[in-house]
Amino acid sequence: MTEPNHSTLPIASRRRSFAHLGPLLRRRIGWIALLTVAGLANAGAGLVGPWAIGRLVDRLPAGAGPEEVWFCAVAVAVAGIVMALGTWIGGWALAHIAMPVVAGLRTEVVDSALSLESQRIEVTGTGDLVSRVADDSRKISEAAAQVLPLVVESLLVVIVSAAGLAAIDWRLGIVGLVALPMYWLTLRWYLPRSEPIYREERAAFGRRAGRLLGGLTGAATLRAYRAEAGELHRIDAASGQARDLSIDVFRFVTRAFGRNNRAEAVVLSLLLVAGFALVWFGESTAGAVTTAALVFHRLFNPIGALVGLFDQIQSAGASLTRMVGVIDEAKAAPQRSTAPAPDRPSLVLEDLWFSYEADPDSDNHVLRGVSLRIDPGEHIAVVGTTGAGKTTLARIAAGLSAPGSGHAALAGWPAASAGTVELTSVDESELRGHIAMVAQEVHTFSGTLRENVALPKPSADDAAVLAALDTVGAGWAHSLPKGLDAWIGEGGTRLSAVQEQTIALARLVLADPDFAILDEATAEAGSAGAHVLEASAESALTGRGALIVAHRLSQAEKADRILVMEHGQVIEEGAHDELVAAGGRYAALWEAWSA
Amino acid sequence: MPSFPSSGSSLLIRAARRRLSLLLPGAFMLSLWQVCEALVPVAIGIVVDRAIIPLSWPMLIVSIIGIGALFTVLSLGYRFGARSCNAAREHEAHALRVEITHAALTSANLPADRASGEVLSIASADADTASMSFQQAGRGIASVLGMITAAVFLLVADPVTGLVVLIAVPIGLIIVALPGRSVSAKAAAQLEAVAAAGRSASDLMHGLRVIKAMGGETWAVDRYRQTSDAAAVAGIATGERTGRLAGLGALVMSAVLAIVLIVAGLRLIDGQMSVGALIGILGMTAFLTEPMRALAEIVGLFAQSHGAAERIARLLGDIDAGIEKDSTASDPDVSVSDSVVTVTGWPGNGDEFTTACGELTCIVTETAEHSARLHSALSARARGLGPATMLVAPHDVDLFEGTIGSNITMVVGTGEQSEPDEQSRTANTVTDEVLAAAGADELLGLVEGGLDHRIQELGGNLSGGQRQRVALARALNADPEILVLVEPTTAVDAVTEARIAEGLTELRRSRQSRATIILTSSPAFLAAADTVIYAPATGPILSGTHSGLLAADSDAAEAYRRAVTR
Repeated sequence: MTEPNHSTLPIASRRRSFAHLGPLLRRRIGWIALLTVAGLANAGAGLVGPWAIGRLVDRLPAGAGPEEVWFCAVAVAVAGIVMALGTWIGGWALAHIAMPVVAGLRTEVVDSALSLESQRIEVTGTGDLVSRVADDSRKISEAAAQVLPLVVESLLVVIVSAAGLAAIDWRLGIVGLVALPMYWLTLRWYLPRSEPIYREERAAFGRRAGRLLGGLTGAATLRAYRAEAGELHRIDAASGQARDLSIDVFRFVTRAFGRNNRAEAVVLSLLLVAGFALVWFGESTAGAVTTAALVFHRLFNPIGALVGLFDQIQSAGASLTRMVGVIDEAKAAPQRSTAPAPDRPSLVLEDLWFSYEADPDSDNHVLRGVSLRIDPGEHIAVVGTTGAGKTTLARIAAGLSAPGSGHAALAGWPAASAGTVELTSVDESELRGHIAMVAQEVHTFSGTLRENVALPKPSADDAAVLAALDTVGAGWAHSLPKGLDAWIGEGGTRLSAVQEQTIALARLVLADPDFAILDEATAEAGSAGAHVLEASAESALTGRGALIVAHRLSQAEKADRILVMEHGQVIEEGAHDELVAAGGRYAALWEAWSA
Repeated sequence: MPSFPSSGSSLLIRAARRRLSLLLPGAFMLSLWQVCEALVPVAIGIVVDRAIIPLSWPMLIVSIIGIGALFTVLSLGYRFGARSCNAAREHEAHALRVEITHAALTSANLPADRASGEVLSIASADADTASMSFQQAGRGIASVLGMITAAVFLLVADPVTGLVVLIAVPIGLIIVALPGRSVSAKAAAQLEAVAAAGRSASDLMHGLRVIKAMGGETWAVDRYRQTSDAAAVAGIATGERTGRLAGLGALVMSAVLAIVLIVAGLRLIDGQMSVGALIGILGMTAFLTEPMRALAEIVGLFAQSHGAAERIARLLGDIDAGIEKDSTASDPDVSVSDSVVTVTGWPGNGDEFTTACGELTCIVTETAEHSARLHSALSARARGLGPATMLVAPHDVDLFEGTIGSNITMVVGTGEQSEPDEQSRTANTVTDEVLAAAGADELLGLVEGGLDHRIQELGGNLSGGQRQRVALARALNADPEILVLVEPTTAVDAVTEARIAEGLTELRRSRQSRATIILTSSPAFLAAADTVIYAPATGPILSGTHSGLLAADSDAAEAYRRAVTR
């Protein structure tokens, strides 16, 4: 079902998605029973009002006294108490069913997304994942809170009222059944048309948001180049298009409501005509007909709500299929073994070939036969131009990508003491104890400083976190107003690029792996910041092996060995002094750098 | 300069005035709809009273025709009324959006920190919310008219019972509305908890690569579970409270119905009321709650619309007035003549330097404030001169949806997702020279389609170094007489940076009477510069060549060496 090379995440079928909810719902069977009882009692009590009016219509003109009026009033009041309790208990039970199920579902999606293979994420991109894990689960949660109670209540009222109508007189019940095909036809007319136009409208909203975001965040550049007019024109066009679509969508929706009104008028008229006939033949009373008409009148709102909410229900269903798709994808992924890696291993990379193209025979290789061995405590720097394959090498060394061919493994050290384990077959939690990576991409999570540093080791105490921060020279952490409790990331204290990178390095210290992979971890910091980060990185790497993709040659200079890469191959290898003396490519780079 | 409304109210009044041709018919039609809705239970009563009880065939036919007519007016009233109000809303929201973005992008006065985030939220969410007032106005007017109709009917049908209904229903609603506020606060808190869970999920997914690289999966799931469970707990509490409130509503309305039923029933026994009136009054009692509830809701919503309108008016007002910059006295003076830039009063009052024609000047500062001051003074001057004469390319790279080519030429299509505009491509070709000088040539080899490679929203599909090179190609392609660059290669690797420094100097030198200024501390550029100007934290500026300054023997030269050594 799931193609591993497919570039998008799968979408589960509707049947599969609802089946996924089954076990979650079964665990709440008691609450479901309570909801059903409360909902039925509530809807049933709602029929007492029309029934009482009909009774008065029959009995009062026939000469019944005030006691009849009192009786009906008491009945209505008692029904009010039942309705109050039914509504209250029903709402309570529904919340106890929907909220935990939705919470379980959204946590499961996050868990699944986190357990996807890195390689898979590189292919699909994080955009789709963000939209499924954040947006879709928010839609489901909001639907559960706002749409679901209304839908459940309306549905019960409709069912019970239909039964009530039949109980008054089965012939009137049959007439009421005419409503079913009429509303069904409305939905048949509405649903197939609504989905594409809503989709188009959403796409137009997306385009408009994109244009606004692009134009407004790029304001400085647009002004510098006096290019505002073109961008404004695009914004206007996108906004105008969204407006026109919204107007069309609304016109369409009002037509659907019109169809609802038509059904209401037809069924109400039919009920009155049938009632007239029944009274004519002495089969029923005017009071019963009144009750039937009022019961049907009471249905206008719930039916309108069901028809009106149908597309929201559908859209929540679509979100569900996208979420279950992620869950299924994570389940389908091959399980990594739990084989333990050797103690104090070497990191061995042997004849690595890699291509980003799906075709295995492609000539477009990013890596062409790179071999490398890092012994415990050894620091190796990789230099080369963009596109030389440095980042790919780093990702394979970190076990985040599998090589196209060749081996990336942890091997016993000294060489013969223990077996060899391929990185991609080691369980991730085990692997990260041996190898961790700090990449160019920095992300500070919205949370406290403590939480951010403790990412690899949530159980770490304050002393350990502070020690990690001190190791990487993050003295600024002490001057934050709330220390480790300072809120950083989105919505918190703004940190500089250097500070964010220091946090990433502090995580590395706390993770304490045998090998650290640094991919240009000191880039984009300006030269003063780079000095600071180089010092931080050096302390973070003390005592462990490291593969450093070096942006700045001063980092390469300090390494035990330097690899110079070009077009996916290692063209020079050796210590700094050797390479400078050799007068090759590295020597030329060094000369340009230290000019 | 157009004058903007000064407050939220005047903005809403202007909106109503310019959409009057949609709003008036809309409100009228919606009122028709609401009145007809009120008359449905009355109609049922009349049919029972006049046709069914006396078993009169002709009256039955009249009744059915009447119901048909009633529902036709009801349906058409809603359809066209709601459409008009909705159209007014959509047109106004669009007009406000256009007004805000035009003001934000074309005004020089907009303070930089308001440039993106706030304007974005005002142009998208607030423009929508403010225009919602049209729907509220339509529904509000209709609700009031619906209630008046109901009241008139009640008093005409039976003054005593009518009065009881008109007193009991509002009291009942007040009883229900009192605890309503605390429930809506709970519901808002629950929505906020759900939104917080959503933000947390989005945050984790954006940092997914970091989590995977560092083994933080357990940490991440535990974190998320906490926020998600908190949202579930809030959801259960809200569900229970909402249910309790709805239950109270049902109880109160049943009590009101029972009271009215007693009064009406006793009056009917006394022969003071007809059966039809009884049905009509009791039906109307149930109906009356709807427009009343709608009206209460509309008052709350209108407050939101007004708040949004207030924010829009304030933003437009700020743009119009311009925010006074803190005293211009300390700003350096930048004068430009014949492609020669003279800066006086920077960093100290007595300092002055002049760039030469056709030369590359690099500026190194010890403190970030100095470079920021010079940068803003140069930008302000450039804005007056236009990009053909003087261009200050911002350090932060902004990429726009389109192609790499359209991002370099800054000529965009019309906004349709069509193929890259054929005309603009041929008219604005980027020369290979420019691409090579910006180091963008090898980048084009790596991406599919070269110059026609599609740039996603905000350039998310290019790396930092790639983005910087596209931005550099953009600046070089604009080919201004005076070009100012700010740290243009911070995300580019050393090898490529050296190539760029060489190519850029070559390219700019080959154009006669062109001056180039680069604010940078990268030795690659400094070595290639004709003149290097160093501004220490205190004291006068140093001027010379890179090698000259490195060799010089003074405290300031020592500081220079520290600033540029890697």
